[in-house]
Amino acid sequence: MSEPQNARETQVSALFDSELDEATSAEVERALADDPMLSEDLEDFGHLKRAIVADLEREASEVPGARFEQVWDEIERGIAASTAESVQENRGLRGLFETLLSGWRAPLTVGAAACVVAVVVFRGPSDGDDGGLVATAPDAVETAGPAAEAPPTPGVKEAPPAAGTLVSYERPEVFDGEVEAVEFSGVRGQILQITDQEGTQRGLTIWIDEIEDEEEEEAADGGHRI
Amino acid sequence: MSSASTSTASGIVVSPESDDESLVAAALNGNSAAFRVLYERYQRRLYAVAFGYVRNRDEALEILQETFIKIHRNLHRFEGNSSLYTWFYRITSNAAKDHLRRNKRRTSYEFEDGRAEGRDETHPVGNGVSGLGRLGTSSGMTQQREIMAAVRASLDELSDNHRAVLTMREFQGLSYEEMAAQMECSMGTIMSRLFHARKNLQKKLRARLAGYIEDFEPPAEDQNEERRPASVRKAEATP
Repeated sequence: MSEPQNARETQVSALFDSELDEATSAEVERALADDPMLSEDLEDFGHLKRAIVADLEREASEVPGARFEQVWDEIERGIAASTAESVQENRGLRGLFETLLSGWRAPLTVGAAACVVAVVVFRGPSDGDDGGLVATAPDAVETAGPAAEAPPTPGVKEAPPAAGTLVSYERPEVFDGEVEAVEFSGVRGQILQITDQEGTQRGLTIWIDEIEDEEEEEAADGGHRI
Repeated sequence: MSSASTSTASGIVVSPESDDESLVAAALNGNSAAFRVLYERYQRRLYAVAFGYVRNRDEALEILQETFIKIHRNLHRFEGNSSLYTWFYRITSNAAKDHLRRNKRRTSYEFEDGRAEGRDETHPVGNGVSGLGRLGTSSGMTQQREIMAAVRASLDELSDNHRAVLTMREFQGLSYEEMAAQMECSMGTIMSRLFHARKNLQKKLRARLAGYIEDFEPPAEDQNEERRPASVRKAEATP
């Protein structure tokens, strides 16, 4: 195939695709009128197009529906995996925030602890009353979560729920004060340590040092109790 | 496949008759039934595109799967500048090209110019041998099947690049500009590649279908005899 002939045939192919400018199109059409072989090529390009489309459509129609159903199952699995991956990435971000906020962990933990304690003894700076206010929660308080319905309002004694009932307390706002002691099941104690058991349902564990009566009185006399 | 009928899972009612826009909106709201309707609507068309590139059923289905996972992940990026199916086609094409790149299983030879391509010596372009238009008399079922088999075998033999341009142009209807953007080359290259892809396919088909072409007179009998399918030779021998 000579170079000019090759170039002309290439133009015929482009003419078939309507990709030539007006001037070149007119030139190629004149050449087509003079050369039956070029005209035949142009005709063939039409046949080839139809053959390609027919082949692909036939192939697509021959694939059983069950195969597409299988593919859909895989797509659903893929989407689920992709979603899980995205959640995992968010967890990673949460971990980053936790690290950044680690300096705030202690006060926040103390704040969170307030939602699981049964008794909160609070004495505010302007509160001249020595007597602490005490609220009592049942044994089941250990399982109480942070998502609460009603926060234990300071100064309000709440009615104890029935034994064995799962109780949820609203996460309290962080306030100026410190939780020093808690009381549940008739035992009072000082908070020694709060540990975070990540990945467990329990979440936080509050280690208590039981307060004997004398210590309790001493504390009541001398310091702030919350 | 069980068809996704009506769903109110996300508060938006969808059905197989819902338009693309409603389905996209519902899918973005987490309505999985809507996404499934989209899948059912386009699965075969997108499969055909993928098959056009790879010519293998399992691989084309794999590409389809990958495509829909990508669509799901990026649905929020669809801006409506083009039609949904154009956007889907583009994702399928990209997935198919990536697949071919990952699995370089074929020797990618092709003929980008006349010298490399060479003339089809058995059916020289200039010898007056008829084109494919003379297949007009081949209307019998058996003949039709053989013609389709010849088309399939010829397409199978093309290089990846030639199949890609033919699929983009003939099946997807992309312009040269769109093809150039997709294949990351100039429009001139696309024009040339498409021409050579067509000539190559034409040559292969002529060789396979010589027996069906009206008034065909093979210039080199012994060579053509080797190329023709056995069924064609038998038919010709029968008076």
